Amino acid sequence: MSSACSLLHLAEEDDRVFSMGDYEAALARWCPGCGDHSVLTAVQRLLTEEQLKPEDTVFVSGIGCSSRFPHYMKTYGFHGIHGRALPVSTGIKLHRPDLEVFAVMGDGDCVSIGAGHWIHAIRYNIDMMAMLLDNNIYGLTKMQTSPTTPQGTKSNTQPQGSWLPSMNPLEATLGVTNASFVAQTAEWIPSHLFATLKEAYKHKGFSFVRVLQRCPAYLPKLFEDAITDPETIELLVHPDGVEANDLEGIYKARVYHDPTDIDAARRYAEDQSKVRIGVFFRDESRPRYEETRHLPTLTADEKLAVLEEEFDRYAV
Amino acid sequence: METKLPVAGADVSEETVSEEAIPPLEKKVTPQKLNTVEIVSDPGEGAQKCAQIFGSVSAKMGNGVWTVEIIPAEIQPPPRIPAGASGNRIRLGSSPVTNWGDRANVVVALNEQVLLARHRLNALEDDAIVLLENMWKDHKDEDIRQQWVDAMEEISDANYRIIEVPMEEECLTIVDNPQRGKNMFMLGLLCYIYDRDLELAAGQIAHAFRKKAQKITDVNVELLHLGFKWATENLGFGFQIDPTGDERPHLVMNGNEAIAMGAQASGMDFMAMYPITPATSVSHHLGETFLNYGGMLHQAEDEIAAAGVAIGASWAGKCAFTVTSGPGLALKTEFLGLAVMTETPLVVVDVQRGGPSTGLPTKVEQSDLLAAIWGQPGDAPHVVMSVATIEECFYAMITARKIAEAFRAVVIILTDANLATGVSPFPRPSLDPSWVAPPPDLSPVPEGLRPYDWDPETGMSRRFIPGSPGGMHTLTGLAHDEGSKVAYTTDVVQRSMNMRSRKMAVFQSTLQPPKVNGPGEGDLLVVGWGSTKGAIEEAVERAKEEGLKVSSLHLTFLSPLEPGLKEIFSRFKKVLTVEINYSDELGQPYVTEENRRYGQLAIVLRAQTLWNIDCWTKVLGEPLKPGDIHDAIRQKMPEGGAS
Amino acid sequence: MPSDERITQALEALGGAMETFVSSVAMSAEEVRGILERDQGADAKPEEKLAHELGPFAAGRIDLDRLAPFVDTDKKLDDETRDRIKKAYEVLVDLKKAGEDLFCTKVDVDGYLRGGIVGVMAKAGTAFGAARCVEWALHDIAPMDTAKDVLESFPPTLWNSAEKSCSPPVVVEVDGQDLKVGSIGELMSGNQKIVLVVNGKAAPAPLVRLITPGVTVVQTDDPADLAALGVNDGPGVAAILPEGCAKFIHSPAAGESLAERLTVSFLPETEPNRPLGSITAFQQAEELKQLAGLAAAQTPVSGEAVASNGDGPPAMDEVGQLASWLIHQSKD
Repeated sequence: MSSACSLLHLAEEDDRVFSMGDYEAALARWCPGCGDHSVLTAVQRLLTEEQLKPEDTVFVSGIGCSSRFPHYMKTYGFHGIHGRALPVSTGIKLHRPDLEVFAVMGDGDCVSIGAGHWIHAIRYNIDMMAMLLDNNIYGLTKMQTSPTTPQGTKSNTQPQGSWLPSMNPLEATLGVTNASFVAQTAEWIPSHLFATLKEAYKHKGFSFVRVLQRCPAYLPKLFEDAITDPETIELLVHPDGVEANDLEGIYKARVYHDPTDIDAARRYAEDQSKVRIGVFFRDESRPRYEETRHLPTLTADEKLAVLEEEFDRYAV
Repeated sequence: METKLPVAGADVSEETVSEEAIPPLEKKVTPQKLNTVEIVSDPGEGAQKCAQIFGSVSAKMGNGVWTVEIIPAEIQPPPRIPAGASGNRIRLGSSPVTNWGDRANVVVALNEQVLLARHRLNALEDDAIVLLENMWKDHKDEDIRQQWVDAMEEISDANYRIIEVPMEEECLTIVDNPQRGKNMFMLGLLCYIYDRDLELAAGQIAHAFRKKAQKITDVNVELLHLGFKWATENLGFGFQIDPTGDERPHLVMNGNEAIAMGAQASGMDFMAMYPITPATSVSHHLGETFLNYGGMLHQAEDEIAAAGVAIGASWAGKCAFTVTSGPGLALKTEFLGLAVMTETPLVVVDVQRGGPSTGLPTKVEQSDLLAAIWGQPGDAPHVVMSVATIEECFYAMITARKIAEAFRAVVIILTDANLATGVSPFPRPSLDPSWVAPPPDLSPVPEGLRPYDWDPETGMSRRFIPGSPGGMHTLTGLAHDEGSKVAYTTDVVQRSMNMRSRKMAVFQSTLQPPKVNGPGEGDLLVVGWGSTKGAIEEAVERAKEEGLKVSSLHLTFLSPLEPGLKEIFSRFKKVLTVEINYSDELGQPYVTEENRRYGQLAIVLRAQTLWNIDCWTKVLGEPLKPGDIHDAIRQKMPEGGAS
Repeated sequence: MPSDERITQALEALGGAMETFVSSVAMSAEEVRGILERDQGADAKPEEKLAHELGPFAAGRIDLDRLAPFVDTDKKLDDETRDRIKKAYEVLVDLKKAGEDLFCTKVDVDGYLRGGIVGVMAKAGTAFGAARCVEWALHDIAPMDTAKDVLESFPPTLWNSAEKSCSPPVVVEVDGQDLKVGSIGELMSGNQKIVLVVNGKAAPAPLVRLITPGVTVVQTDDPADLAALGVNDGPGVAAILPEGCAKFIHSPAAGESLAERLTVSFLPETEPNRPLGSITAFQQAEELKQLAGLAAAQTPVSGEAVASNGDGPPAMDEVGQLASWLIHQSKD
C-alpha cells in the first residue's frame, strides 16, 4: 500500500526525464583509481534508471574520503560528522518518509566510530540504503588502521602491522536481529556493483551493501589478487539476488545461493577463503520501523483537540 | 492500644457527648498564608499517592500548591531505614506557591526512621507537628523497639510536637493489610487538619483508582473517612489556608509534563531521546500521548544518535527536539556544533541535574549553563534560554520552536530537576492554532538563490528543505560558503563565522530589558535564572519587610543576554547572583580574589558587563530554600546597607 | 442487520487505504495552512501575527516590532489568491473531518452502480480539486471554468495518473440485480479499491469479467478474503455476495501466470436459470462458465510452473491469454 502523501504536487504532471548528467554535481576529486569513482557512477546510473527526482533524493554521509560522496551528487546531501550518517538518515527518513535516503559510509565511519549506530540501524530496518565503501584503511587522514584492515597490515598508527584480526562487517550485519538485506559487491566489477545496488534499492527495508574497494594511495595491493585472478572470487547467484549472467565468462566460480537462507548466508560470510559477492540475505517480511511506528496525520486543529483532552486529565 | 495525645487546644471540659461515641474535640483553627506538610514512608507504602491526591484536592479548592517528591537515596532499600524515606512535600498557600519553602510545619510519617531522615536533613521546623505511626513503639521485635527509643532520643533536641497515631490498629478494622491502606488514612488526617473537602478527596481517590475495581475505590474512601474520623476525635487543631481567589480553570502537572505538552502545542511532532534522569519523564508522557497526536518519539540507541536523529528530522522538515540532562548534553556536543554550522533549527531541552559525571541524577543543580553556552568546541553561536516556572516550561517550547526556525538556530532550554519533579497548578492555557508549526515550505527554490544566502547585515537566510525543487545542495559541517561549497579560503571562513554570529546579535536586538522585581534601585540586586525564581523572590520579599533595600532580577535569555543589564546593575550598590552551582567563597583555604571560582551566571555576567558581581551559590542536591537565600542576602548586604 | 456488519468488515478491510487517503488530505491541509500562515495577508500586522506564533512567553521578553522585519517573508498573496487558497483549505479540512461516511454509499434498488461509486469518488476527489485550486492560485493560473465545481465534485474522469494512485477507496452497498460490473472496469486504475456489499440475490460469478492481470478481484461470502485487497498494490475490487455464489480470489501479487494468481475455492454446480432484474440467466451462466473455464485451466499449468521453477519465469502464459480472450468475448 502506498503511504500518505501531499496532494498538492499531484496536479502538475511531472514529465521530466532525468539523464545521468542531471545527477552529476561537482567533479569528483578522489584520487585517480579510487574505488569511490566507480560507486559514484553506478549510483548515478541507478538513479537514472529509477528516474529518482533529484529534489526527493538525499545522500547522507559521515566523514572520510567516501563521505564526500554527496557533494558529487546533484541531489540533496548531508555531509555530517564522523560515524553519524545513520542517525541523521534515520531522522530524515522517519520525518520525511517520502524521501529516498542513501547513506554512504567508509569503514572507519560505519564499522568503527559509528558501530553502535550501524547495529541499531540494521535493527530498526528503515526503508533506506546504506553503502559501506570499504577500502580497509583510513584514507582521508592518511593511512591509519581501520577495523577492517587485514591483520598485519602496516599503517601509521600500527607500524608494526595491525594487531588484531580484521572485523568482518558481513558477519556482524547478518548477526543483528532484524537484518533484512545484506549484500557484498566490488567496485572493480561495475556490472555486479550496479546490479547489487539496484537490488538493494528495490528492497523494502534497510539494505546494507558492502562495497569492496581499492585505495590506490595507501593499500594499492589490497585486492590485487582478486582483480588479477577472477578465480579467487565466488559469485552468489540467484534470481532473487544478483544473477550476473554477463559475468559467466570471467567469474566461473558461482554458487546458487537462496538469499532467504540466513544460515547459508552466515556460513558464506564467515568463510574468508574466498571473496564472495552477491546478495547474501534478503527478507522483506522483517518489520520495518516506519511501518511499526506509523501514525495517521492530523491537522493543527485536531492536534490541539488531542492536547485539550490531555489538559482535561490534568485539570483542577 | 491506648493513645495518649499531647493535644493542645483540646478543651475537654466542653464535651457534651454520650458515653458510646468518642466526642469530637473542639477544633482550634489557625489561619496561615503558607503551610508545608510532608508525607513520608518506606517506598511502596503509598505516601506519594496520598500526596498527589492531597495536592490535587488543595489545588481544586483554590490554594496555591507546590508538590515535590522526596526520593529515597536507594532504589530498593530495606524497610525502616532513613535512606528509604520516600514521599512528598506539599506547600500550600493562599497565593500561588512558587517553591518548596524552607521547612515543614506538619509531618505525617509511617515510621520513626523515615522521620529521622527528614530530621537529619533539617527538613522540619523546630515546632513542627509530627503525626507518627506508633505501632513500632511496642513492636514485638526488641530491636525495633530500641530503634524507636533511639530515634526519639535523637530528635528530642528539636521541639517537635509528636502525636502518636495508631494507624495500623485503626486500619486493621477495615483492611487485612494496612500497609496498602494507611496512605488513605493519612489523607483523612490531613483533610481534617487542612479542612479539605472530603467529597473532593473521594472523587480524586476514585480518579486515582479508575483503572481498578470499584471495590478498591470504596475501601480507600472508607479509609479516608476513618482517618478523618480519628482526627476529629483526637486532634482538635487545624490550619485555615484561604484560596488564592483565582477562579480560572487550572492544570496541575510537573515541569516535564509541561515541556511535553508545550512541544505538542508548538507543533513539534518529532522528538528523539535516550533515557536519562531527570529528563526521561518527558518521553514517558509523549510515549503515550504522541500516539493520539500523530507524533514520533524515537528512542535512539544513545545520546549522540538522539541528537543526530533530531537534526536529520529537523533538516528534512519542521523543527524537531531532543531532551536530555548534563551527561547527555556532553555527548551531544559535536552534533550541536554541526547543527550550528549547518544552521539547522533544533530545540534541545536540558533538564539539569547534579554533576559532574553521573553526579546526582535525581537532584537539582544549575551547573550546565557554561557547557550549554560554550560547550561546543569551535565557535558555535546559538540561543540558550531558561525557564523559571512549570508554566514557563509549557510556553517556552512554543517560543523556542519559533526562534529556532526563524533564525535557523539551535535553541537550548535549561530547566532542572526541581521543575521536572515539582508539581504545581497554573492557569489552563487557551490553545492557539498559530502556535502549531505548519509543514515547511517546499515550494521550488527560485534560480540563483543559494542555501546560505546570508543577508550581509543580519546573517539571515532561507532554509532549503529536501523536496524543494531547485534547492539541491549538500549540507556540510566543513567550512562552507553561501553555496554550501566547502571553502577554506580566509575570507569565506571569516565571513561565514560573522554571519552565524550576527544572527545572535540580531536576535539579541529584539530582546527587551528584563524587569526588576522591586524598586529599580537600592543596595543589593539579587540576580537569578531558572527554577530559583520563586525562592529568590520570596527571600527578597522577607528582606524588604525587614527594611532592606533589596530587589531581584531574573534572567530568561542567557545567551545572547538580555539587554540593559549594565544600566540596571549601575543602580544598585551591589549585584549578587544566587545559583545552584558551585562557587568558591572568599575565606576558604587558598581561595583568593584572584583564583576564586564564581557561580556560572556570575561568570557570564562579569564577562559580558565587566561589572564586579558577587555570587552566593550552593550545591546541596536540593532546591534553594527562601530562608537560606534570605540569610545570604543579609550576610551579603553591602556596607552601609541597612541590616 | 447483517448488511451493517458486512459494511463494517468492508471498512475494516479498507482501513489502511482510507487512512492513507485521509492522512494525505490532512498533510495537504496542513501544507495549505502553511502557505496561508507564511503569507502575511494584505493588511495583517506582522507583529500581531508574531505575537500569536510566539505565544505568551514572548510577552515582555521579545520586542515584536523589532523581530517582525526579520521573520517577515516577502511572499505576499493578493486578496483574491488568498481567498482562492482559503476556500480550497476549507474543503480539505472538511474532508478530513468527514470520517468513514465519505467512502460509503448505497445504490438504490434499480439504481446505477457506476453512478454510486463515481459519486463517492467525485466527492472525495474534491481533495484533488482543492489541491489543484491551490496550485492554480499560487501559480496564477486562471481557474478552470470548473474551478468552483471542482471543490464540489471532482470525478475520476478528471483525475490524472498521480491522483489516481492516491484514490479514495469506496464501499458500496448494492442490490444483486444491480450488480453490473462491466461499467466499473474502467474505474479500476491507479490504486482504486472498491468493495461491493451485495444485498439480495446475486448472479453466481458477476466479477469474473473484471479479472485482468493487474487488478485484484475478490468474490466471496467470507469477509476474511477481503484481506487480499490490502496485499496487492494497484486497483482492486471485492464483492461480498450471498452464500451459494462462486468464491475466488485473483491476486496479482501471487505470481506471473493466471494459474498462480487465481484461486477458485467454490464453484456452484447448478446453472443459473432465472433472470435477475435485467441480468439474463444466459449472461449469468456465461459468467459462471468463464470462471469454470479459468478454474479448470489452473491445475495443469500450475504443475508446469512448479516444474519450471528455477529457470526463470514461464515464457508464455497461455492461461492468461485465454482469460483475456474470454473476457474480450464477454464484453457487452
